[in-house]
Amino acid sequence: MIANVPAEAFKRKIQENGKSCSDFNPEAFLHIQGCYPLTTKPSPQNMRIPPRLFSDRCVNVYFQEWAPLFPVLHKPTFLRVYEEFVSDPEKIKNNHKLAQLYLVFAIAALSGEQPDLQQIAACELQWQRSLEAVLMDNTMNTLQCLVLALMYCAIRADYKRLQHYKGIAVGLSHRLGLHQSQKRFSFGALTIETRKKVFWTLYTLDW
Amino acid sequence: MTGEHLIPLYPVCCFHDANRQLCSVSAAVLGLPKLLKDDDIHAEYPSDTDDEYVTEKDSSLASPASTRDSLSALALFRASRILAKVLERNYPAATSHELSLQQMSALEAELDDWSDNLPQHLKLTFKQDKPSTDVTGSRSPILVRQHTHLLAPKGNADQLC
Repeated sequence: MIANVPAEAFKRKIQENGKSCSDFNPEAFLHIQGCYPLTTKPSPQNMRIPPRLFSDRCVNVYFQEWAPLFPVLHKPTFLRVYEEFVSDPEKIKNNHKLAQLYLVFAIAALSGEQPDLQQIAACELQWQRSLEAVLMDNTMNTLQCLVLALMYCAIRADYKRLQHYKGIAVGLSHRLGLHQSQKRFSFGALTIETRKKVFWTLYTLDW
Repeated sequence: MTGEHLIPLYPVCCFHDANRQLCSVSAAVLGLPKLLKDDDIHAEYPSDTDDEYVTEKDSSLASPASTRDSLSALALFRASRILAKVLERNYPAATSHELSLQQMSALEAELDDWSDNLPQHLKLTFKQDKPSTDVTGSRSPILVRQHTHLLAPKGNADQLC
């Protein structure tokens, strides 16, 4: 694995094979890379609440393309929150709900064919702000937000943030007992299923 | 056989959609160990019931087998467990290690077994080492094939995705 090979030895190996590596920066492999911002222009204030067309499309894309393989959210529960949001966006103050909404928008939009970078940057700002507010909570809601954040960071190739969130997520997952057999808990069926889905999604994103 | 003879691992999780590829795996890309230890894990897999049919009281209502998105997730979770073993045994964090051909064959057999046991609607057929063009909208993760080919001579890996 590249990360295990000393930088100089790697460069020497390339040179021995007769290839030039003056532009090659082995440090890029050895240190976790962040990523460039989506846009250099700050998003205007009126972009904070995305247009209905944008958010409807994002929710559809998310549940069609992402949720089947990464079942971190319970769809009926999320759709109720989304309905609340479209009926009065300003009314939602709960940071878990805001983080999940804007993460779903951002994940779906970023993975589309012609991403609206300005709009996604506005969503990114929103979810990061909301997630920061609940990062220290020892709850499933926070863990669900974190797993969504991992998905987003993976698409963005923002490995610095990914590694940071992953550490918190795994610690939280252990504290919540998700890695244990769920038979020992007397939660309802929906809670148990959600716990398993969130855990295994996190596991998939861990490797 | 030592680690230098293997080409670097470039894991790709592909949605079988012409327009998109996702690189969604972190430990392998970052060259760091996984954080979750397999020995500590005793959690059961979720049931193959779609969200709409699960309530706090009861998750026994079944949705039609052919539309179960949950089966896609289960297939991915199972594949991840096998690939976690690949990562752990073939690419450990230790600076030097020995690899065994026997171990690699056993892992490849596990991957083949996983692939053979996929539900029909998740299977992805290959023609001449490329996904066949009659598959549309399939969510079959072809990451498993990616990895088995990546363990083979470099020439094969170039033909994929």
